[in-house]
Amino acid sequence: MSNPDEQLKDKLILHSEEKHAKVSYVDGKSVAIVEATSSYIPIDEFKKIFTSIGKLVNEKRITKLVFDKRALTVFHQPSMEWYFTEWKEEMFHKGLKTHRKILPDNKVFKQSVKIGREKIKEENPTLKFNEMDIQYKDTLQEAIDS
Amino acid sequence: MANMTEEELKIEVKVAQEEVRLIKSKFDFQVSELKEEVSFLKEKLMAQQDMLKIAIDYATKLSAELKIFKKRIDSGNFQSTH
Repeated sequence: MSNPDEQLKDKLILHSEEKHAKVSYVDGKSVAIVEATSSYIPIDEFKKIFTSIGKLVNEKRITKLVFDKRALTVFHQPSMEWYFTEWKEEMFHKGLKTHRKILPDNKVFKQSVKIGREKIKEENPTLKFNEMDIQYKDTLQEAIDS
Repeated sequence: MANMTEEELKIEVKVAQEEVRLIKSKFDFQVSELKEEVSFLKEKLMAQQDMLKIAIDYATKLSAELKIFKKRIDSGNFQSTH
């Protein structure tokens, strides 16, 4: 994981690994984890990763996704637009309605994410945003448990 | 070299050709890796530029709103939200 000192009581099973991110799921729980392993994830890889998570959602009946963004320094609005308007909507209908995010300790990044998300909300008022349980956490264990 | 038979020369040419092929393949791989890295850096820089633009636009908007708010305070024409 991003923080090698972080101790987890849960066992993670690696599902897939790309150059800039990896996907795992928690043994015995309906939780998947996507972890950015580099400062930026190119949009093609981003889509590939989340498409593979879509398959995992079907296979393992995943209901919660933890997105660990701590390694990221760059936020990409077009990737986020696709993630919110297409991927999250499709997953909502498959039962994935709980999202936990772990953000990097970077004010510009955090603010840009917030502004970007508001922009997407404004432009897409009919999205299922308000029906999703979205929370920000500081550690992976907190994100898994909450 | 002058004493080489035709067969030996053929073998030597074949070895040299194989070396060239290996070097070419190595360079092709390195160029392909560099292309991928450059493409990644370019996309990352563009995203970084967009991200900073979003933050600057927001700060500019906030600054303008604060100016308006300050004017309202100075004029006494405001209502407390508390």
